[in-house]
Amino acid sequence: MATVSLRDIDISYGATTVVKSLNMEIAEGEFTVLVGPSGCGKSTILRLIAGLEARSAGEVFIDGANVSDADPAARNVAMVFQNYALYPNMTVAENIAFGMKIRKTDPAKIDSAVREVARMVGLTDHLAKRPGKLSGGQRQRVALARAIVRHPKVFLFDEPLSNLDAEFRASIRLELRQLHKSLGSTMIYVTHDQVEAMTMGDRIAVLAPIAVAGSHNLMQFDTPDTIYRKPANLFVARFIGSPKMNTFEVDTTAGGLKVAGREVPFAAALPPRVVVGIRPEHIEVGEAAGPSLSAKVRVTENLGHEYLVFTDTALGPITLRVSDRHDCPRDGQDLTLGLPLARLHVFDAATGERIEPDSAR
Amino acid sequence: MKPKFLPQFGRYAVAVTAAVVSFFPILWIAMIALKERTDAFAIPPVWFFNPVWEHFAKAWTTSGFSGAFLNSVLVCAIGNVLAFAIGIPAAYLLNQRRTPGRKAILVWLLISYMLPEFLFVIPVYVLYQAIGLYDTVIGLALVYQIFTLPFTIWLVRAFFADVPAALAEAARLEGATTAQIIWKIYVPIAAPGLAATAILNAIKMWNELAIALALTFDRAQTVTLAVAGFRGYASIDWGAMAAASIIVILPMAFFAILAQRHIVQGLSLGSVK
Ligand SMILES: Nc1ncnc2c1ncn2[C@@H]1O[C@H](COP(=O)(O)OP(=O)(O)OP(=O)(O)O)[C@@H](O)[C@H]1O
Ligand SMILES: [Mg+2]
Repeated sequence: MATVSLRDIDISYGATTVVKSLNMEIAEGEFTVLVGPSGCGKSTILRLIAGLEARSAGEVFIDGANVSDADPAARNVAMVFQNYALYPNMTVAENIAFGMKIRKTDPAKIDSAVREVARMVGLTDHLAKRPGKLSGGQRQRVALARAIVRHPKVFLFDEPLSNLDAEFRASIRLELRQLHKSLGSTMIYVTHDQVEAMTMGDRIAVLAPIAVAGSHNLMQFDTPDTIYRKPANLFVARFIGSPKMNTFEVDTTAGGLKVAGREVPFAAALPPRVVVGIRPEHIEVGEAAGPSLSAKVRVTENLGHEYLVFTDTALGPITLRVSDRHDCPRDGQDLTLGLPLARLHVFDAATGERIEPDSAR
Repeated sequence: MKPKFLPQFGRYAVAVTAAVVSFFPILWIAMIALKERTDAFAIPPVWFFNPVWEHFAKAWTTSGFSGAFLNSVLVCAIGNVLAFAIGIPAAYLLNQRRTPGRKAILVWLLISYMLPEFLFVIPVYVLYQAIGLYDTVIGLALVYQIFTLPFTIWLVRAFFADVPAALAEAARLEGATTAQIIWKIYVPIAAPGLAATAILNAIKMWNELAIALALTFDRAQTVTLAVAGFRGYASIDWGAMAAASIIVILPMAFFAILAQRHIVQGLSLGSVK
């Protein structure tokens, strides 16, 4: 169990900057998820914490100790790699025991430790097999066992579920959460799957590539709830949520926003142009306590428990989710969409930063 | 079906022709070794005859031949051990992007692989005379190690490159040193490739003539020299010489067949990558 701090981290490969001005404070026992599109530097950050990647600037602390220049082995972190990185020439038991053998642990101790961990992750019957004879899920467990057996200060996971099929992913996701509860260890988990991020993280760090974000990668670092309800900027707003949040750029007036020709009061100091966002699940069919607009249904998708309705409006295409308690709108049907005021997100069109109404401050 | 037949047939024709062309000399030597002296050079050739084995017995018992055979085995073994002792760590480090001067060393290896091996022989001859390594198995093995090293490094590097880098990283996180990573992970995983490399090295050393001729005289003579030794001052004992040649070909042919799949894989590395 340990805290992890990243302070003013920069990482570049030659002329390309991958990570810039990264600051994160991870609490003891926290399950932190790093999420972001491909190439935003998630793996790089994880490898930096492990000591496998060199930084250009900044410092890394584990448990308050500056480990910026420490050897990977000295950091006492365990990493589960995307392709598991199991040693193919060794049996499952030897894979789990490798680190202890290197450290010349007493063989009797190694044996009991391997058995205990194998029991924890359900590998007892497979200890004598080579990784090549195991299924993807079992390999995943070996990688996990190899990490657990070391009692590391920090667990690092780099997209550990991405090679598994969807059904299996859901069950391992749950197991990992339970493992985190029972071990109480600090865990840092990389994924580009936002469902994994939302369901697993105590806190989520949303990262953007420097090419998109400019001055720093970390777009927001907060609880799943806050990330969803109060995305700090347009990048987070559009990245988290499926289907994506609807956004449209509008003018402002002295007292509010101009949405679809109507003035919507919004008590805040506003720039001349703002981006208004609303999630598909918050749009109502019919009038609502807020602006409304007329829409024409382009196409619908029936997901069973709900419908996704894709419409065209004066503000551009708008997607909404309609629960199956309503009838599914027909293609080409005219609808009135209500945008509840309380559900609107407002962002500065120039900077992309969130603007909160004064009352909420 | 039909359009496929001709190209397929063509391929077989080429393969069979190549096989016949390359096997014919060996077949011819084998026939000389097995024929009575009178049949050996009969014109037209005698294709059907009762094989005799006396040439083999004679070749093996001819003075120096069995000793030369043992020398060759030792030279191949020691040469390989030395080449791998240096080549394995070198190959691993040359695959690490962090290694300084990596590109220059790789180019140098390729150049030294292309240099004629006989180039070092004269200075080495003088040196060996001075320090007492002339006409010793160790001395010959040392020189062979030098001329197999670039090839060894080049091939082992290709086999090591197939081992995912994440394995080394995982091991490093667990506290393994670079030496432990090499010997406990890379070497076992690349073992078939290393074996193929060793066999190719052995074939090269086993068949080498020029350097052995320059650096040995009698005690450390190798098989290639021993075979040439059947050419006496006045006459050549063709039957025994042919039998000795067959004895010399057999061990390497055996290894080559044994490791054929890995050797083909090893040789086609580099080209596929
Ligand atoms: N050794 C390297 N040399 C040069 N560029 C690199 C190197 N390693 C990574 N990069 C670049 O750094 C960026 C971040 O890579 P990283 O692997 O951290 O992304 P990621 O967020 O993990 O992406 P993914 O979801 O695809 O795994 C990428 O644009 C990648 O091309
Ligand atoms: Mg990655």
